[in-house]
Amino acid sequence: MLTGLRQCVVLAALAVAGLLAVPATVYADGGTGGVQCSQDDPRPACDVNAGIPGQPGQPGGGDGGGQGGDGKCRNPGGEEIPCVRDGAYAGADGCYYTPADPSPSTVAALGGQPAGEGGWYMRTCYGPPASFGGVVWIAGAAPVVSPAVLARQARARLNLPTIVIRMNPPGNQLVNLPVWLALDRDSWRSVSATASVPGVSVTATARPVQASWSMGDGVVVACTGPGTTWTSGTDPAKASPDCGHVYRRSSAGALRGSYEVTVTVTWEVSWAGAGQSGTVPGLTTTGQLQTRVQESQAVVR
Amino acid sequence: MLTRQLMACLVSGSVLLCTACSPGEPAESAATTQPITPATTTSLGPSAVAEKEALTAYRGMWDAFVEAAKVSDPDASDVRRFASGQALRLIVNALYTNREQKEVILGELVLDPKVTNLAPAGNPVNVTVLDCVNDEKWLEHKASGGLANDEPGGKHRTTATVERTAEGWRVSSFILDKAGTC
Repeated sequence: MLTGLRQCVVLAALAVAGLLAVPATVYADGGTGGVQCSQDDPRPACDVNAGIPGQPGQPGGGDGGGQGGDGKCRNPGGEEIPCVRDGAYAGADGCYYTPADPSPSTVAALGGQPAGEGGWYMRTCYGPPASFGGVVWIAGAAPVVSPAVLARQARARLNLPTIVIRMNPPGNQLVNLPVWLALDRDSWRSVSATASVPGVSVTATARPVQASWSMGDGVVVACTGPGTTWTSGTDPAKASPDCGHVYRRSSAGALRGSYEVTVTVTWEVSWAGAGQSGTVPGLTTTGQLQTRVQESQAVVR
Repeated sequence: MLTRQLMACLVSGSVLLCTACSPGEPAESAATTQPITPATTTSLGPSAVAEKEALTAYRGMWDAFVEAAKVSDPDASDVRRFASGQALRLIVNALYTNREQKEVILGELVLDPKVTNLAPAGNPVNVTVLDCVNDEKWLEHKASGGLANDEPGGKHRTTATVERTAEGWRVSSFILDKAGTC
């Protein structure tokens, strides 16, 4: 897919990343710069009739961007441009790209999430005539190959463990008896994945940081660890040292006579490679079980 | 088409005379359609109500943009109350971009909107607004403080379409031209 030449180009781009000092400002002038559209402006955002944001991937997308055969980055006019500017990489169109993470509400305002493969990117095009930037959907392959783009690919390859709940007492619970909330050891461990192009490799690592237990009785218990598994010999009336709950109401009145326990594990995802590092949006995994909570005359507290 | 009509309106020296033009009509027929006149009775006619509500939505959009731009919040709900379609895309994109660039917009934006067209004349649902948006004192700042650059703002010729929807009047699109166009 990538030729040796392109590999060199990517490396060259990485090498010059810290050397090129370019003014950081994209927007000159007044506050309306970001919403300015001249008549017959070709940008999608200025098309009053268009409903769909973004555009198809650049021809040759994913090949490392706007580098030519001489290893230099050029704009469509043929002029040499820096391969990296403000941490963003030059695409074949001469504009610069970094991965973006618009919120669902932002995506909706931009026209909705397009179907199919692709990604959201911050695209910055520098003038003349004018500089402008914006968040765009690029369908298909990434418009540039950069450590940040590889980090997204590595993140997508993370194979997070299935959540296995170790609740004690197992099965049904009793009112006023402490419940020990724990996850199987294998459900709570760091997981890594790597994405690479020849010469550049980026590893994303997911680390579990929180287990949020929704107990079904309206109580949510947040634990910063996997919890402690109850072992036989421990006093059943003792509470978990780090992650537990006490039901105060029987589940007799709940739907189907049982509580649904849902645990959501939040993962922080960081990446490192090509001499850079950063974070990408986190991930969550969930596990569920049903439990009946009964009144018991035997446990008097 | 719309632009030429607006230009024709401006050249004729009276925007009011052209307020009832619909985009598809030749400008010559303007004289035969109902011009907008200020309400002389206490109850406003459908056109006067539409004009008032469209301008409220138009100003509401800019107010919401100005407010959201202070903190570069692309998810601000007020922006969605007054803008839809291309107008919403432009503003949300600008706010998102500013957040990414660690910039905010501060100061005072000056508007001077006028309705130039209502369609259809009897029960308007589509209103054209012509404005000269002045951002000489509404400038890009670094989020960390200080002006983003030393470029001045200016006056931007702006044409907007405001539409009546089930949820109320919304600016559905606008074209804001470069500084010095009005």
